[in-house]
Amino acid sequence: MRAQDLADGMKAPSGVNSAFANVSASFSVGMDDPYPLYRQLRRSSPVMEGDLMAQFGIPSVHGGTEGRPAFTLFRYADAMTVLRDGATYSSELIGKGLGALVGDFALTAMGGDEHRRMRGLLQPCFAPDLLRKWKEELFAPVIRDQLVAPLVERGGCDLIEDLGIAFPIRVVYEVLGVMTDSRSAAQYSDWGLQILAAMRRNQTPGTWQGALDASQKLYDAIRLAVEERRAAGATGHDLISSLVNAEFEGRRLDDHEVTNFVRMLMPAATETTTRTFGSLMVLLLQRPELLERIRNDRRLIGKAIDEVVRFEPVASWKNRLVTRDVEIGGVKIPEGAFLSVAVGSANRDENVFPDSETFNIDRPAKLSFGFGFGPHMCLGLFLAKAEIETVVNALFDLCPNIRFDPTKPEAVIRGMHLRGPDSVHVIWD
Amino acid sequence: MPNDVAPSQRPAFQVIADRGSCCGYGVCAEICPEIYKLDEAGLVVLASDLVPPELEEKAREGAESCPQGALRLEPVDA
Repeated sequence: MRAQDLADGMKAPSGVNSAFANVSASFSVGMDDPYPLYRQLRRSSPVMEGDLMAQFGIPSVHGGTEGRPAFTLFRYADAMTVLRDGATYSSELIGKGLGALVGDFALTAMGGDEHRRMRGLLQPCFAPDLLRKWKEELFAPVIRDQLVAPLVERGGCDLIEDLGIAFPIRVVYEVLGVMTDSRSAAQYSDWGLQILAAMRRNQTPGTWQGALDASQKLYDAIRLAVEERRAAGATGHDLISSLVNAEFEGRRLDDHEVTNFVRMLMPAATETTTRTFGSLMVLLLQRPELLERIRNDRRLIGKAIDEVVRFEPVASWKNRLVTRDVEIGGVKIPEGAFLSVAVGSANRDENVFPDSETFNIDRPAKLSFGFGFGPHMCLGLFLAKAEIETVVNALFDLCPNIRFDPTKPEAVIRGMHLRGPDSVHVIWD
Repeated sequence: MPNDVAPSQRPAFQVIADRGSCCGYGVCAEICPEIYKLDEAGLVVLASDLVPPELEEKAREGAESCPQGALRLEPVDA
């Protein structure tokens, strides 16, 4: 790799940074701390008539929701009931939202047997043992040597702008194993963010058209890479080779399907990881004793990530379409109703998590919904956790006494959806 | 059966695991490692399919937390 490419890899081009900021602005809707509101509603109206997401103007990846009766759920048990049962609580309206931009292979919009078969095809491509190979062979050395090490002599940085936006993009680039340089990887990610930005409410027609254009460009670039990879025999451990070779119940994926699947990953795989990493670092840097304890016992990083996914879930909202008349928490909900599930509230349900509003990495293992739950639970969660663990390990190893930069604005985790800090300024010795 | 899961009373429940559905999320093994383990491929294996009464609650929570619905507890036939 040329020196210029190495330099490019250290920092994502400004286009990605501004696209990231744009998505932050759209989804956060200007609210820093929604948790007191969630707590109040969890008590007063745990199954609330109306769509809190719509009331606050929070973008949803679901479309075709106008005119439907709507309900919002705040409790853990109700969230679990809904997310577990993909037949009664369908994701099909994603097909009219985000799905309309990412083609006819939107896994998150599928249901029933079609989803089961596709998931069966795709799951082995993300299996834990394959992930270990990716980590050791593909991305751990890159994160440490090419992204974190070059920052060390600066003595400080913004963990979001200088590292957090770049590393998930680089990991996707390494895992796909086909992009020719990190600049094109950043371009892919920029297109992915443009697609996500089009989910905002009250958008101008230009936003949608821009997202369609970005989606087409993304398709063309990935399609070329997929065709080249298949022609070369698809023998590597990379994701595109795995997808080309995947087979389940006699079914395989053609180039169009592999391309559509990889395109769908772009908006999903990068900025959520950036935000989770950012929130984790803020919560640890605010607790120097805890940070020191984890620095001395790296096995705790995994527990800390699990607790961040509970305490500050980036994807704070899930939506479902109700496919038959049901009753939740004594409230009758008709077929055709649209549900908003407040994951940020369910994850802090005091009936399930004692002292639920405290960040505590030592709490007993318990499922939370930060990666979703049920048939659509995040396919890439192991990858996300492994990336974040790798970055945190590298920071602990290479940046002694890492702490907030007292001369810079305070890092704040904000937003009602896609929560995370905009910047995390740190210094080290 | 390994010694560390030797039941103090007669088990009333057994775990049924559908390894074909397991995706290796590992939530079960985090919640009840005495019963649920992950093999080298990262998929669920049972340390014991019989659930000692003192582990019943954790085993049930582990099964209910499976995102794939691959685990369930069934009464042991009398």
